[in-house]
Amino acid sequence: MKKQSHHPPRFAQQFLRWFCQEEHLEVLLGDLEELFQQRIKNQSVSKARWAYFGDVLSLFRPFAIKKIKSPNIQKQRDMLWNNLKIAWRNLLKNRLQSGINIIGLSIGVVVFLLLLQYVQFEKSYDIWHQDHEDIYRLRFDRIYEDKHDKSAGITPFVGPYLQAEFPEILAYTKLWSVDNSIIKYKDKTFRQDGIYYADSSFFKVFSYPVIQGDPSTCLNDLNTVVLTTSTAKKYFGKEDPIGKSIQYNSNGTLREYVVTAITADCPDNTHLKFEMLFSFKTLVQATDGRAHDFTYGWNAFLTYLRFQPQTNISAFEKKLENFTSTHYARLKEQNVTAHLLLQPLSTIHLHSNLRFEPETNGNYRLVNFLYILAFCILGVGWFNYINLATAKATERAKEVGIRKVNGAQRMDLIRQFLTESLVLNGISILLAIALLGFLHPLFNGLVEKEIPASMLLVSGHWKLIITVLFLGALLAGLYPAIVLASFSPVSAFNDQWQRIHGLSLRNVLVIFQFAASAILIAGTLVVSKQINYMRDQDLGVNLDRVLVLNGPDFIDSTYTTRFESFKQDIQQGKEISNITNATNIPGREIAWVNNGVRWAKKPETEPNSVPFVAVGDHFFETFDLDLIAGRYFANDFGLDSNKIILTETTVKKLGFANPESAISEQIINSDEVYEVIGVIEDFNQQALNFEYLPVTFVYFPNVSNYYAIKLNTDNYQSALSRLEQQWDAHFPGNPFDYFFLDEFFNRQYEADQRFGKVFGIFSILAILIAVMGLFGLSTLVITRRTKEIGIRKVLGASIWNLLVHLSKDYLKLIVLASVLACPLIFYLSNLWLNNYAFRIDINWWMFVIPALSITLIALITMAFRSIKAARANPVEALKYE
Amino acid sequence: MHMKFTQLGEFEELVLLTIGVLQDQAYGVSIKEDLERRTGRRPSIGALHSALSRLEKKGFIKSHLGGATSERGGRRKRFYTMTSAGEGALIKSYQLRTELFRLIPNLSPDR
Repeated sequence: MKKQSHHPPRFAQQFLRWFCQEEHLEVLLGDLEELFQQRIKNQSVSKARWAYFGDVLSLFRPFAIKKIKSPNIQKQRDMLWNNLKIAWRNLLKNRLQSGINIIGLSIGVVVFLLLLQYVQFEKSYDIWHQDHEDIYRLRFDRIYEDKHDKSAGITPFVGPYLQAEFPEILAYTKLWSVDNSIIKYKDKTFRQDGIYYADSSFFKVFSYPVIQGDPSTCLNDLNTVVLTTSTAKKYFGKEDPIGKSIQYNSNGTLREYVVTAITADCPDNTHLKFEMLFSFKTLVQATDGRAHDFTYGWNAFLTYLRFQPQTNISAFEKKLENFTSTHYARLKEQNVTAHLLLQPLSTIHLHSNLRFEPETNGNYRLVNFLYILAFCILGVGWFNYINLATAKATERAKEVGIRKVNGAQRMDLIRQFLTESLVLNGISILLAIALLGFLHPLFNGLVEKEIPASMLLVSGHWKLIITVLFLGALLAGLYPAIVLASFSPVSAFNDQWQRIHGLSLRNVLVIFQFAASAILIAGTLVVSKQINYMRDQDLGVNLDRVLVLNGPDFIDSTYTTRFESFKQDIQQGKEISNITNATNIPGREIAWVNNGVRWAKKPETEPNSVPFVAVGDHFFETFDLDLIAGRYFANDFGLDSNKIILTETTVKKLGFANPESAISEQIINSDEVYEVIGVIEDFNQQALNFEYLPVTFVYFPNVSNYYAIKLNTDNYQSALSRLEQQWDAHFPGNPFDYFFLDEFFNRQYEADQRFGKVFGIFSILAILIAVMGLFGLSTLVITRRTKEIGIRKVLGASIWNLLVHLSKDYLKLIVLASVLACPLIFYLSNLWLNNYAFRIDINWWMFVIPALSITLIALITMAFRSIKAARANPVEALKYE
Repeated sequence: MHMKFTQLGEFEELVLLTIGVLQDQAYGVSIKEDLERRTGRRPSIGALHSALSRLEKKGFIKSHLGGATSERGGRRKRFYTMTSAGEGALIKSYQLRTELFRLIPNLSPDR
């Protein structure tokens, strides 16, 4: 029988041969062929062919498919494991070196992370409000002849008017801050800060979370109040505050406010922090409607606007220009240019710095500086690593030579060294993260902000960080890897191959690090000297032993007599030498600024802005303010009700030739006329950042804002208890709040002191990194010169000679670093000191002390190794091959 | 001594049983045909070989090459035989099923 031999479909076979693993191919093809032949017999050829296709397809399964990388991947995995093992062994071999490297890098990374965290936090102010890009604050600029006044305080009617006129504005809210008030609930009385009157639309503009109550209605009615959680706890403890009333004394009227809602405590990253919100309606009623539609003056209201999404803001600002020229025409007559501008909400914290800010703003320049600094420090850490790695290079020359002889390709060696670098970096980064967790609360304490631990994660910055760290590790490892891998095997065995590779780069890095350290040391010195100078400076006013009491809030008709008898009773005590009262005290910004003040003889078109303080009897004696012309106020209001006392600066500002000529002259404040009766010496009303202010005093014997009491003893305990007794007797129901004026005044320097502290810490860190770099380097150098040291010793060198000889080279670098640092120190110190009206001068010690310090530090660092080497037995050294 | 018992899939069990039945005649095509005849199931050659691969990896069967025929174009077959582990697995499976079966009331194989 003739058998027609049929073949299985070629195409299907090819396909199988293509994807199938070698080891299964023969058997599978055999099975398929057998089946094929059977089917030809039992069915038909075509069916057999189709079935063959189906079979091949059914074999397209994981067990049969070729593993493409099969031989290679195993090889690579093995190689990697080998690399890791060697990397680990190398690390352990030079524990000290590796340790230094790791710690140095970790410090760099930790500092980087901490700074980044801080920067992110500062930039995150107010962005958590919903659609914060649509929220703006109104800013009121007035340009006078002598100054450009920028304020966040606006006349009340602007907000409502704008919303009525312009549909782009979804909602507005006005805020009026209330200072220093006494709030009472049942038996709990506290002096409360952080109180604002807020419009009913407050929660439409802002997204402060409301925990209890309805945000859309809680500020609608008269006499209602919203509390934060901790404020509520303070007064109500565990009771439910909703529906209960607190008492508040406002200008002599005692009001009850019903609690309608509770919000969460304001987070740290908002420029507007409050503890209580009173309903604005209440203020409107209390001021007979003026708080709502007063159209001129009283520029004290914060106004925030929420716009429709995607409003054209610059177009709107043009509309505001029209608005301003219409409604502020009166200012134009006085030769004052006025502008209403819009501030985006998220820019307020770092860029604003107007008058009437709810709290002191941050500084965007500082934040940017820190951002750059963070990357710089990280860079320095990596430079250090590269430095040390390349310096170590020659030690491994033999290893490289042997590997190459055994067939290693350059690529393999690079991979080896890169692996080592990544392992080291990896360990450093892990260590850094651990340190971060530990240092985070300490850092928060240092900068006095509550930065949440997840700050970096939350802000989405972590992607950037991981990329930066990984890339950095890669690049930092690449250079030494390439250097090492390029060693030629032959010359590696040549003993004369002693050169330190990359000499100049390494020296540059050392110089850079020590110069940076010198600058930071100089900076720390300058900052601390400036702060001490400011604290010790003669302020022109005597704040020693002055106790200040916050005056009573409940004023009624009996106040005058009670005040008088209080004063008398106080002064019975031997500890009290003087007591006075005033609307303001040194150390506090004077909010009462009159803008229409001029010498009667000067034209009306040249008004001046002058801060006013109303004082009672004995003010100038209590504060030791010296008279240079005229007299003090007499104890008789009738006589001195329209009299005024100026300071030297005011005299100059108002245009008088000299203090004496000002006496008896007339001063006009808008429409009030005063007569000058005295001129006192200038004094520092505020911290020495500020120039002398043109403070002006008027006489109001019964002002009750502050009582200043001069003690003549340091034993203030007994004085205090007596004072408190007298206080409670004369002003029952008022909390006895006191503080010492010198401490209070110095609190203005807190920010600067904090700055100094932070600066100091970073100096130490920079020095630490530089020291580690130098330590590592000197170790290497000295080890390499062991033979030389041995020979010198044998020839009679003393230990001292050896020390000098070993340190010589690096000392040259240090000197160079000091010289390079000087101009930068000069420039930067000047830049910073110019922030202060009263400042120290650039002095020789600012240059010499840092230079000496880094020299000393460098010497000590090198000494450790040098001494050990110098004292070593030369026999040992010369044996060393 | 406890050995980690690797799971025996349902199809795998059938294949394993068939291998036991076929003694030393068990190879790809013969197993396939036997399964079809006895159980009515018609696994694709791919599914079958996949199961055989798994069984071998689990250690229940071992294989050797041999038996080239012209029908196969001169290519050899791979014969599979059960290992003691494989026997153990089958016995265990049988015991488990029988035990559970007996626990079901009113269910008898003679119904």
